Order: sequence, then C-alpha cells, then structure tokens
Amino acid sequence: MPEALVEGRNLSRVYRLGRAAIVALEDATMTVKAGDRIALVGPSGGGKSTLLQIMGGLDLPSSGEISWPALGGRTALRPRKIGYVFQTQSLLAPLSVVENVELPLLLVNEDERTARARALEALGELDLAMIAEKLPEELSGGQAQRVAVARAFVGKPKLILADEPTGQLDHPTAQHLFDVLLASLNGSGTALVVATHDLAIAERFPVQWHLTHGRLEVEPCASC
Amino acid sequence: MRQLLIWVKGLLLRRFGRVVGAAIGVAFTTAFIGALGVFLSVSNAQMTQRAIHDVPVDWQVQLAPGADVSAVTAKVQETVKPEVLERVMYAEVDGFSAQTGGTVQTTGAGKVLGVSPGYFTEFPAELRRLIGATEGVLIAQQTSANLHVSVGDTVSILRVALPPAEVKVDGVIDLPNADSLFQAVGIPAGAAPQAPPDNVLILPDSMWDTLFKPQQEVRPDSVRTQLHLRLGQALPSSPGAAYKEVTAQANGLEARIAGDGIVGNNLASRLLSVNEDALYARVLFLFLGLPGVILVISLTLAVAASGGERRASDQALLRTRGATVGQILRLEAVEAVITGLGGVVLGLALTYASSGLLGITAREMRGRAAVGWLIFAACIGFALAMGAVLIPAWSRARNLTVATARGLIRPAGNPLWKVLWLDLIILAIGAVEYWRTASAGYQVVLAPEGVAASSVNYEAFIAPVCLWVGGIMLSFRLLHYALRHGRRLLAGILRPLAHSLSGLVAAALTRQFRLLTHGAALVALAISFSVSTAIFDTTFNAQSRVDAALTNGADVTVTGPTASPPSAKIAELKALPGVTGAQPMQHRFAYVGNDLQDLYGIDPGYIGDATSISNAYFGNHDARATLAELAATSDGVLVSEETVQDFQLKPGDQLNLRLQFASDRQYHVVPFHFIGVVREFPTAPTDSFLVANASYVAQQTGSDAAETVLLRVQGDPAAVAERAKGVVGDIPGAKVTDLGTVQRAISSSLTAVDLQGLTRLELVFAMLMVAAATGLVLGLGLAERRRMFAILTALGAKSAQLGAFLWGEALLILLVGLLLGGALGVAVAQVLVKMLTGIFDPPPERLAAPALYLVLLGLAAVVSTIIAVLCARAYSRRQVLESLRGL
Repeated sequence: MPEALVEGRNLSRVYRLGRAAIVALEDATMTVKAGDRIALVGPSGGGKSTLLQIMGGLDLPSSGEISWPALGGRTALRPRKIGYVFQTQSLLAPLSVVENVELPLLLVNEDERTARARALEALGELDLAMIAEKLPEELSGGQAQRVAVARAFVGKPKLILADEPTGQLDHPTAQHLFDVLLASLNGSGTALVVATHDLAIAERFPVQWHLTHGRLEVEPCASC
Repeated sequence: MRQLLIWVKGLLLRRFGRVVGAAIGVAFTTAFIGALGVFLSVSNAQMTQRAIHDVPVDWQVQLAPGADVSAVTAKVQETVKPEVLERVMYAEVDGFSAQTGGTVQTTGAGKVLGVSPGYFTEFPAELRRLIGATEGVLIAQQTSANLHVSVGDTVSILRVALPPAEVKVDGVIDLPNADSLFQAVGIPAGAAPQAPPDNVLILPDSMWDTLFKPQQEVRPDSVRTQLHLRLGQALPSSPGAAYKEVTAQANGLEARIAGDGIVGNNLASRLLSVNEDALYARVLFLFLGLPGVILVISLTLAVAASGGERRASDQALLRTRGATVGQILRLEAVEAVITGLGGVVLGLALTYASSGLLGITAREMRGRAAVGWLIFAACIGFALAMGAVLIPAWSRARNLTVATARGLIRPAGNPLWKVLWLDLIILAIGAVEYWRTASAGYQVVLAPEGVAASSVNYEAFIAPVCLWVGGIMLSFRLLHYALRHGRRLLAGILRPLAHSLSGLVAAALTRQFRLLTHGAALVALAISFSVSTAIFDTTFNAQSRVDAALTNGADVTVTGPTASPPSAKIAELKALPGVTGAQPMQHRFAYVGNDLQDLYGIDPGYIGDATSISNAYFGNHDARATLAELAATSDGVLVSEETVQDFQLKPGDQLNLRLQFASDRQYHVVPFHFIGVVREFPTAPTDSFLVANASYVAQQTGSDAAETVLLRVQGDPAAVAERAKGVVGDIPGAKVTDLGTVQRAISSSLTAVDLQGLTRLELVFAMLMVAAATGLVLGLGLAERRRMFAILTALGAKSAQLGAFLWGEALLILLVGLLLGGALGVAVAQVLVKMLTGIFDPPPERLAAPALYLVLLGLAAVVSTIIAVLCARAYSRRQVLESLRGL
C-alpha cells in the first residue's frame, strides 16, 4: 500500500474582498499517495490553483485539515519534498538556466559542485543541456516551462504540483512537455498532480479530479 | 467624466504608494527650491539693510569754493528730504604743537574739522570716545600720542598764513571711519592721496568759525565745506537695485546744484561692495543649492519611474480596449495633476515649516521677492510632476506597441554616453576649466577696475559641475565594469552572508547591473551632495570664525591705553570662569622711516595659548617655525610684505625703528633684526604692521604695559566678555569685545552673512535625501522585483536565504554609494573651497570635516537601508500568494 503524501479533509478557502466573501474551495477531501498521477481539471476560477497552493503548503485552508503524513511539517515541504511548476514563466530572470535549476538544491545547502552536476544532469534528461547557460529571456515559452519542470524534479521530490504548466503553450508544445515530464518520472515513486483545463492532457492521467466552483469531485481510479 | 472619476478612485485605492511617493518628491523639490530662494532673497535684503545701517554718513556733499552754503543746503533739503543734514567744515593746517614735560612736540600737516554740537549724536559711527568728553575740542588718538597730550592739555594749531591759535583738549577720540570722513570727494581713485591725515583736531563749529574764517579769507583753497546727510529712505531689498536708486538720486542732486557741489556717495559705494557679496551669495546658492535641486528631481523621477512597469501594463490594457493616445494621456494627466497639486501644497507647507531653520520671520516670508521665489518653486514642482508622469507616458504611448508595452522588453547594449566616453570628456573639460579658473586666481565674482558694477563669472561653475556629472558617470562605468568582471570576487565577499547561495546571489547582482548602478548612482549623488555641502558649510563657518577671530584677536579681547593697560588685570582675567588661556599683547606704534606703523609685542612661545595662529599669517606659511625663530631672536621683528619691498629687506638685516620711550615719551631709535614676513595677525590692520618680542620692546622702551589681553574661551564668548567687563570696568578707556559681536559686525565680507540657517536647512535636506536615496529607491526597487522574491519564497527559500538576495543588493548599493559619494563629495568640496577663495580672508588651510554630522549621515544611510530591506522582506513574504497568482 503506497504511503499517503497529502491528506486533506473538508478543506475550504474563503477570500475576503472588502465586504464580499469569495469561496474558492469548499469542503474538499482528498488524498495523494506516492506514485499517483492525478489531473486536476475544471474551468478557470474553479479553485484549482487554490487547492494546489494548500497542498503545497503555500496557503492555509480557512477551515478543514491538511496534513502531509509522509512528508513532515508544513515548513519543511519545499523544495526537498514538494516541487512546484507554475502556470506562467517562473524562472528567475537574472539567473541562467542551469542556475535556475540548481537553485532548489542550493536552498537546502547542497554542495555547489554537486548541485551544478545534478542540475546539468536534469537538464540533460529533458534535452536542455544546450541551453544551460542561456538567460530566461532568451528562451521560448516551451523551453522555459521545460526548465521549470527540470527545476521542480531536480531535488527528486516525492510530490510535484504543476499549476497549468501548459496554459500558455500551444497544443503540440504542451503535449511534448508532458511527454518529457511523464517520461522523466516514469519508474520513480514521485507523485504528480497537474492542474489543467486541457482535457486532452487530462486524459493522459489515470486519475482525474474535477473542481467546479470550489467543489471537488474525486473520480475513483478503476485500475488502482 | 465618469471614466476620469473611476480612474482617480482606482489610483488612490490601488496606486496610492506610487502617487504619494512621487508627491513627496515634488514636495521636497518645491520646499528645497522655495526655502533656498527665500533664504537668498531675505539674506540679500538683510545685507542691504545692514549696509545702509553701517554707512556712517550716507552722502558727503562737497561744496564748490565760493558756493552759497545756505542756498545749496536749501536745495538739498528740498530735493532729497534727508533725515539728517549737518554742515562740516574742513581746514588744512601746517601742523600742531604742544609743550609737555619741558619739551615741545610738533607734528606735520593736519586737518581741523568744525562740527555742530549734535553731529556725533546724529552720526555716532564717526567717533569712538577714548578719554574725556565727546564734545568741545577733541583730538585724534594718534595726534594726542604724537603731541603727548591728553585731556586738559593745550595744543597750538599752526594755521596756514596766520599766527598759531591755542585750544584746550576736552577729549581724546578715535575716528573709526576716517577714510570716508576725509575722502577726496569727486576726485577719481588714484588721482590724489586718499589716506586720512595723521593729525586731526575737531572743534565746535562756532570755535572753528572764529579760528578759520580769517584763514578762509587769506587762503580760501585751504578750507572747504561739506554737507553730511543721512537719507533715511526705504530702498529696494536687492543691493544692486538699491545701488542704482541711490546713484540716480545723487546724480539728480548734482544736476540740480550744478557746479555748486559734488556728492560723495558713501551709501552707493557700500551697496556696490555689498552687491558683490550678494553675487557671491548667488554663487553659493548655485554651488550648494543646484546639486541639491538636481538630486531631489532625480529622486522624484526615480520614484515616478518605479511604477513604470505597472503604468505600461495599465496602458497596454487601455490600448487593448481601444483607448487613443490622447485618452491615455488625459488619464495620466489626472495622476500628474493630483501628484503635482498635492506635492506643491505639501512643499509650500514644508517651506513655511523650515523658515524657522533658516531664521526667517513670517514677515520676511511675505516679502515680495520671497513670495516670487515661492511661486517659482511651486511652478517647478508642478512642472516636475507633469514631466515625471506625462513624458514617459507619452513616449510609451507613441513608441511602443501593445505587445512590447505588456512585455516591457528593455533595450540592451551600452548607452550612447558610454560608447562616446562622454564621462572622461566631461571630466577633462572640468579639469581644463578648473585650471583656467585657478590660473586666473579663482575670480568667481568679477569687479573690473573702474567699472561700477560686479558680475558673476559663470564660467567658473563649469569645473565643479563637470567634476560632479563626469564623476558620477565614471562611477557608473567603473561599477558596471566591476560588476561584469568581478563576479567571483563578489561571490567571495557575499559568502558569509549567502553561504552556498553566494554564487547565485553574485550572478543575480552582476546581471542586474543596470538597476544596481542606477541605485548606487543615486545614493552616491545623495552622499556626495551631503558630504560636499557639510564639508563646505563647516569650512565656511570655521573660516568665518577665523576671519572674526583675526579681527577681534581672540574669543574675547580686552584693550586699553598704555597708561592704564589691561595687562595689569591679567591674573583676574585668567581666573574668570570659561577662560582657558590668557595672553598679554603690546600694541604700540613705531616709525619705519617716516611711516608710522602698528607694532605688536608678543610672547611667541605662548601667544598660541590665547588665540589661533594660522600658517596663512606668515610669508613662509609656517606659523610654528616663524614663532620659534622669533622666540630665538630677541630683537627679531616680522614685517609686512610692503615694508620688505619698500626697504629692500633681506632676512637678518638690521631695521631701525623709532619707538616711544616711557621715560621721556619721546621716540627713539631701537635696532631690530628682520626675520620674516607677516601678512595677517590677530587685531592687526590689513596694511603694514610689525610683530616683535614683547620682552625686547619692554626692555627697550622701559614699559612692559600690554595694551591688549587676548582670552581663549570655552563656552559662550559673550558671557565671558560680560564678566571681563566687570574686571576691567575701573580702567579708563578699557574695551572688551567678543567674537560673536565682531562676527556680526564684519559686514564687508560675505563670511558675515549668517549661513547658519542655510547650513541647517541644507544639512537637514541632505540627510533626508540620503535616507530617501538609500531607503526609498532601494525599497521601491526591491518592491519592483517582488515577483522574483515571490518565486524564491514559493521554491522554499527561507527568510535568511531571501535576505541574502536582499542584503546582497542593499549592501552593494550602500557601500558603493558611500565610497563613491564620499570621495566625490570631498573632491567637490575641495573644488568649491578653492573656487570660492575670494570670500575667505585668510583662505582656509584645509577642509573642516563635521565628524559628527558625517557619522550621522552614514548612520542615516545604514538605518534607512536596513528599514528598506526589512520592509521589502516582510512585503515579499506577505505578498507571495498575490504574486504567485500571476505566475
């Protein structure tokens, strides 16, 4: 039985905007286990990013309980245990590609030489070794997102959360990115949760969670 | 209209910080220009008022021989309507003689004045009482010394072509303004001897009439009449305008009394000289104020530009929705107007609030010139707001496509000035101009011979401006180079702070060199402005004190006659609370050939205990060596340059002086040896004088009386002076003066202008600017990069790791700014002091650094940097989710 990485019960998140209260997530219960491949689908504004942020420990629920049984406390989740891929270009502009990728390793005080070697290795796995010394502003959108993926899994996290990583990419580029991502994780115990509104991509995942107007419906996995 | 209101509401709700930041910049610009301008206009008015007050007699109308005195007097009364008009008669005499102690003393030619009994009450600055009465027969101090007479003695007046007449002396006086009293009216400078006579007697007009009407009949050329006037009119506040008005009035009077008299316009001469001082004040204003104005404008532009990305994004959205350039500019203009109006109102309020710092009264603030400056400052502030917001908006709206506006692709490559090496060219121009000004003797204010006008040599400004601008540009280039090529070194420096991230922090910093150099340049500008202003102001004020100390002699100076010298009370004076040093100094007179000069007898080993002896006082620029040589040569004497040339003296030459001996009050030859040149000395006149050993003078003359006692004081000199007056109150003719009183009284020099207010204002502004440049610019710059910090936070960077990026940048900007700014500030202060050598007498030997202020300045920079980093860190962490939503 795979260990549970994230467990959430009755999670709600309400944002206050002046006097108005906006419910982004309502009574969501879910579990992510090691090796899971989950597509979080739903329309824009449905609460996907909010749920991912709560799962990644970036945000706290307004009510409900969230825990990371196999990962430890909330303060020690990133970057070693959870890798994050953002919707838009999220590379640090003043750092080169390889520096961006080695950053999560250096944040956990990895030796500089080892960090550089592992970053180059990760870039190699994603066919990005040629652009290692380039700056983010010199990359195409697809290249930048692949670098972001490399950065997310260079630290070999147990969970990767990707928030619409292909939202700004054309369809072939998006498919290629997922080819690379899924291939890279193949055989590893790393769980992957991807928020997307692209059904073609969602179909590549064995499990799909539907999130509409903050309400989560977890589709049972027939093969699990 | 509704659209505008929605925009305004959005601005105030969502862009409040940006609007307020820019408005504060505009407020500072307005306040700085306003306060400086008001200070300039008020100090001009004060200079004019003081000049008018200090002139002993405004006009001396010299009547032509044979002119009808009553008719001319009536015409003058009618034309000018003076506040005071007095008739003064001058008679030339062959000399004076007196018999005292069994000997007869006779002087050379002299003058006898006839004045009304109320003359010295109306014109009190013409007379200083020494002994006896101030009415009746008064004899000048020098004449009384020559004749060995005092109150009650009889003096024979050797009239021209008539038998001598005898009068009895009622008082001994000094004529502090003898130069103007005895001026040759209507004769061009250099055409006749201008020095006042050595021998003068003043008689009541009735007695003068009795004694000299007969002389006028036989020798009319030996007698003349003047009308002395005090105008008492309100004149324009500017010395230049007042000069023009007074000159025009004098010309008008001369035209009315055509041929019957010529106006000796003392007031115009004084105003002309004050106008020169006013021009120096303008130079100071430009030298000290302009960099501050440029700096505060740069800061405002930097604050306004910090919202550039958001503005571009807002603009792109508007354009996507079909807004025209005109509509976009109208909306941007709303922000500019809000910023401008808010800033100007706040700025004017700050100006009024800072008037206390400047020592300016509310009434002075309402003066015409002051109000003019406030309006000007408000216009500049408003124009700045419009320019800072509208010009970039217009440029963006015209030149960028929607896509580029949203993406904000920054132009790459070196700016044109770098490619053209403009920084080195500007520095070279500055060096050449500095050399040109230096070789012309640093003449910033030009007062050409024979031309009754002064002007500012604005070319002299080129050197410091070039140094400042070129220095900053070169700093840009060097910092840019260092950042591009010094990454390893930077990583090494940052390692204790950033640990394993040091390489990445260094890489990030070196790739953000444009942002960093802009930030560092602004900090360097602020620091250099503050340092140069502080050093210049301190040097200026210290030199003003030196100038006053040179005139007064020491912090407190006690003088008295030889017969009852204040040195008799030296023990009591030394024991006064606050006195840290007291030294007697003889003040005698000695003939060098036929020239009577002041002789100062000192103890060279101890004179420095009571007063500052500057290197600049001596020909060899070495006070210590000169005084040591004087101490080693008992009969040594220091003489003025003029005397050295007149008598072709070489060191070691014997110089025979004639000194008055106590035994017979006669002048006898005393041999001295010339050992060096003295240019200035405490209490000494600016022309020729001598300095010798007091012990030798005492031994030779038989009197060890010291007519002057110099006191060095800790604390308030005025308070010590009051105590000293109590000690010497019973000494007839004794006088006590203190440094502050003299400092206020020296009105012929710009150093008498009270710059304390301006100094306080500038130092406060400079401190605020340094805090703004370091804190505000850094804070805004970091806020601009909140996205980067949000990513770092989302990736799991801990507070200390996030801090490494923030601190790395902040420390780099701060250190570079402090180092470059400090070095540039000292260099600019040095150039300023050199360029303004003309206002210093003597010129300063070295720059005076206000250590406490500089430490506080550094602290202000450090504290504002710390606050900016802490705020940016807190802000980055707090705004992380908001920023992440955009990722």
